[in-house]
Amino acid sequence: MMGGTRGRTRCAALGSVMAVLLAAGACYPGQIQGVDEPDVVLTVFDSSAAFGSFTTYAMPDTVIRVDGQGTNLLPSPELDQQILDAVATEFAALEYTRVTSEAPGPPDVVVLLTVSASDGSLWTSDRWWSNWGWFPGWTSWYPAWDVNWMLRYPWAKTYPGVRRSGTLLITMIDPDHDGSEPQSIPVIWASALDGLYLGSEASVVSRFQGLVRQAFHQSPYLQRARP
Amino acid sequence: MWTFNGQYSAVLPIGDPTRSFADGLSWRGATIDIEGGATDHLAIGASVGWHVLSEQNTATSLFPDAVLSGAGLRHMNSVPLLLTGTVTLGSPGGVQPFFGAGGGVVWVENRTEAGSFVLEDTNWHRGVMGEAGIRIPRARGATITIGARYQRAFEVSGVEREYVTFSLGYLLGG
Repeated sequence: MMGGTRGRTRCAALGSVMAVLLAAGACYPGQIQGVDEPDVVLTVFDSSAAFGSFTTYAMPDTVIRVDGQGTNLLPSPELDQQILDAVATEFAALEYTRVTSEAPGPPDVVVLLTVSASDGSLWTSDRWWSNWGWFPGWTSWYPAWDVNWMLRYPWAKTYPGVRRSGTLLITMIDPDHDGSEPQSIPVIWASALDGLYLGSEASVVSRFQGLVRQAFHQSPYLQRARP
Repeated sequence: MWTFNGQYSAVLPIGDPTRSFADGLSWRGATIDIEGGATDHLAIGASVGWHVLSEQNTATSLFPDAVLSGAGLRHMNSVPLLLTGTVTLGSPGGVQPFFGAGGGVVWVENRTEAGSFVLEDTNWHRGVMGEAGIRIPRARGATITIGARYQRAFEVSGVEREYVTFSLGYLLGG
């Protein structure tokens, strides 16, 4: 019947249009899976932190290496010292004064560097990250901080990510910042440099200074406020 | 009398804020308009769309409390939800030019994937649109529509988006 034929034709045409519309509306075309591109710099910060008021910082003279089980691995002294020097140079440019664990009073912030030996959640708060036993400043300045205390990242759910083997994480802690939970060590700034420790040593050395500089360039709020 | 217009839309970013995030013509978009004729030449109704921009580039993406720089993919998903009004010229049954405008809200998601990091920023924006095109009648009551639509999502949290869609549609009813 003509009416029935016309109706089926219209339905077929409408269905074809809808199929095209649904096919065309892909959310994330070309989504990368397991991209292996280095030199990505992520910086995040807690907007409620008292940036601008910090004048002193402590930073251990070792880059922590951790695997997926939380085991501290052997460091690479040759590369680590250059990384530490690059970070210290940036803080000096911000007019921060570096203090040691022998200082009578605690620093305004503590800066830790960690390199992943395997994949894992970028903002883990598990105790397996056994940095405090390794950083002497905790026991002298913050004797209450034992292994039951955890690092807390306020942006963990907002900006998730994955640490890959070779990701360098620079973490800034403000001990005086209000923690969101009991026994939480408040992290107020962090930078993840993806893929920094991949490749030959010559490749790493040639790239890391630029990446560390980029991390601080992306974080103008770290600048110490002028009196 | 109600009309339903399902359209395939190509999306072209315009304006520095949008183009600096994801530039280049995108072939991924869809728009659906449903309108009722208030008069022979005026119709009011609603529109919903899904428009995608994406680009692989090396850039710096800014978020409220984060920055991500490096080579990666940047995607914008925009879903405008608008009330619309359309004026058609010419005689019914012939080729008719049309002009339309609308306002409402636009849901915009900006997503950056770089290395192993994924950052997203999602906001609801106030939005407006203006469009022009032609309707070409076909046999048995269907109509082909060809049009261009300017879409703008006003600034929220430092993010604003604007683009133009070029649509080919199949209109039923009327």
